[in-house]
Amino acid sequence: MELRIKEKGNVRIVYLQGKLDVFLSIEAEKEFDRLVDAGALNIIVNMKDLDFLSSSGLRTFIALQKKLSSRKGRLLFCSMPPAVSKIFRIVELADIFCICETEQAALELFPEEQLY
Amino acid sequence: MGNPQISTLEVSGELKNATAVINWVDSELERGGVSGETASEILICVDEAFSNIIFHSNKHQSGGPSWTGGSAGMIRIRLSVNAHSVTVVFCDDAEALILPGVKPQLGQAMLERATPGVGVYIMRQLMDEVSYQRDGNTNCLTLIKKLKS
Repeated sequence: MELRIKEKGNVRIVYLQGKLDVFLSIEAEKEFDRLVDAGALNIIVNMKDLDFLSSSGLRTFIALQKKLSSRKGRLLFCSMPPAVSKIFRIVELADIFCICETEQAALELFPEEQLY
Repeated sequence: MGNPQISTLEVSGELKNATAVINWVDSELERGGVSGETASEILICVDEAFSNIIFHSNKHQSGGPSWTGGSAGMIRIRLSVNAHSVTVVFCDDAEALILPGVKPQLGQAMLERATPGVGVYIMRQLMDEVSYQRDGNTNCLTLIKKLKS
């Protein structure tokens, strides 16, 4: 699993690649903690190259959502492969998290001044 | 595929071995011609099963069950692929497992509190059969996924 971060104004785009298994979910959660502790408030997780995630990966994103919400931040997801979006639907989180078709669609949900 | 392709792996029940187990199952599925969404769903369930076994083996530690702090001993995994299905059997010698029989709290509840049983629920949704047997001192968890012909 690889995790890459791109800055776009006040928004951080996190690209996840590979398999987010239970062990790597814990490692990813540490990375997200570092990002939030460094001041990131608005995060888009781009899942285009994510092969799968299980309930441990969901817990990582639930923890991230809670941290960002408590700081008045925002968590969005985009470009979910079918195997990943199926898990969100099974656990009935698909309508609770903000999930966009594309990265551009997710970026457009932020005010323009936050992107420069 | 004529004869079933059967492979086995034995690993220490520690979380750090999850990636090796997933990679092993992934390569065996590929060797058996199973790929795409079907392979992804099997890998998700293998991850759920492996982490559940470790989680429950740590259930007596202070603070309740967790994924860290102990080992489930050795976990033996048997993967069988034939033209019609994929079967994965996990066996270990830890305490007896109890698979939850009711639907866990999902959705918003997951953001508000710990909701046990989500992993098993996911396995039951993605696989065609999830069964558990206690044989003497051994737990055997069996996952079966039918293949579309």
